[in-house]
Amino acid sequence: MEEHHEKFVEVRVITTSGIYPEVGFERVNDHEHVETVLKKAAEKLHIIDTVGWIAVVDGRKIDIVKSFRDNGLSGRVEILFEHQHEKSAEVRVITTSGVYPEAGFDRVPEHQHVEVVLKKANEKLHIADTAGWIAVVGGRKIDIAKSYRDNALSGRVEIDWGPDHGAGGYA
Amino acid sequence: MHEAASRALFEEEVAKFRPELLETRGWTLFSAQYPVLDVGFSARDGARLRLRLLCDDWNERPPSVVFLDWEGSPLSSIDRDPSGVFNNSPHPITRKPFICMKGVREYHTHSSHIADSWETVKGSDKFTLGGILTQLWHVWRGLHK
Repeated sequence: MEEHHEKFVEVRVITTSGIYPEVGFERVNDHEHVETVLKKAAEKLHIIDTVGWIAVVDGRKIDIVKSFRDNGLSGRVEILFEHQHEKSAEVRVITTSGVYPEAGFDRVPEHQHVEVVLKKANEKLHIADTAGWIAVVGGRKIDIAKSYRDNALSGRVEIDWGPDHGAGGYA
Repeated sequence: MHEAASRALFEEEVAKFRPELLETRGWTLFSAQYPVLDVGFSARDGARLRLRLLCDDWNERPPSVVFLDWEGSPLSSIDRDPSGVFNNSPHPITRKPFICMKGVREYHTHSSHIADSWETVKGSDKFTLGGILTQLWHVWRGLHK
C-alpha cells in the first residue's frame, strides 16, 4: 500500500478590504486550489466582484486555478489579492524594535490602509501595545486608518513607527 | 536586578536599533556599551542634541538622562519645549536641567512625581529604551523640524 503524506501550508490573504483570516493563518492542504481560499476570503471580506483580480506571492503572480503545491508554495504563504491595475507602493516599517520586512520592501496596493502593514510589522517584531504610537513619513505624521493614496504616498515609503512625544510633568 | 540580567536586556534592546533607523531619524549612536546609551539627534535645520542615558539597573529603574553638547560636555541649560518635557529648572537631586517625562529617572525621583511609579509603565513597548528615546526624539523634533 502506498504511503500517503499530507502536507499543509499556512495561508493569509491580504486585500485592500482587509485580511483573511483576521488573525494568524489558515492551515490548508497544499493540494487545495488557491482559488478555494480566495473565495472564502472574498466572502468573509464582502468582496463581491473579483473579476480582473490577480494573486501575488512575494512579487510573483500565481495561478489561482492550480494548487499551492503546483504553484511551488509551501510553509507560510501571504497572498496579495488585488485588482490587476492597482498601483503598488513599496513599504518598509522602521522601529526601535527592528525593521519590517527584514530586508527590502513590502509591495502593497496603494489603496491599502497603512495600518495593514503596521499590524504585520507589530506581529513580526513582537510589538504588543501600540496605543499612543504615530506613523511618520518624511517628517510628516500620516493617518494610518487611511490608504497610501489618501496619505499622498506612492513609490518607496519608509514608515517611522513609534510612540509619540511624551507628556511633560510640569514639575 | 542582577547586573547580568540588566546588561542582557540592555544589549538585546539596543541590538535592534538598525542602521535604517539611525539614518531615517538622524540619530548618531555615540555609545551603546552597558550601562551607557549615548545618542545624538540631528535635525534638518542643523540643530543637534546629545542625550546620555545611564541605564544601570535597567529595567528595574528607568534610565537617568543627561543633556550633552555634541562634543560630550554637559549642558547647563536647554531649549524648553511647549509640553514641559525639557525642564531648565534644577532638579532637586541632580541640581541640573532634566527631563520631566515618565520613563526617565529624574521624573520619577522628582518630589512632584514620586507617586507616579515607574512600575506602572515598566516593560511596556512605549517604555523600552527605544520607546523612551523615540518619545524624547519626537519632543525635540517638534522644536527642530
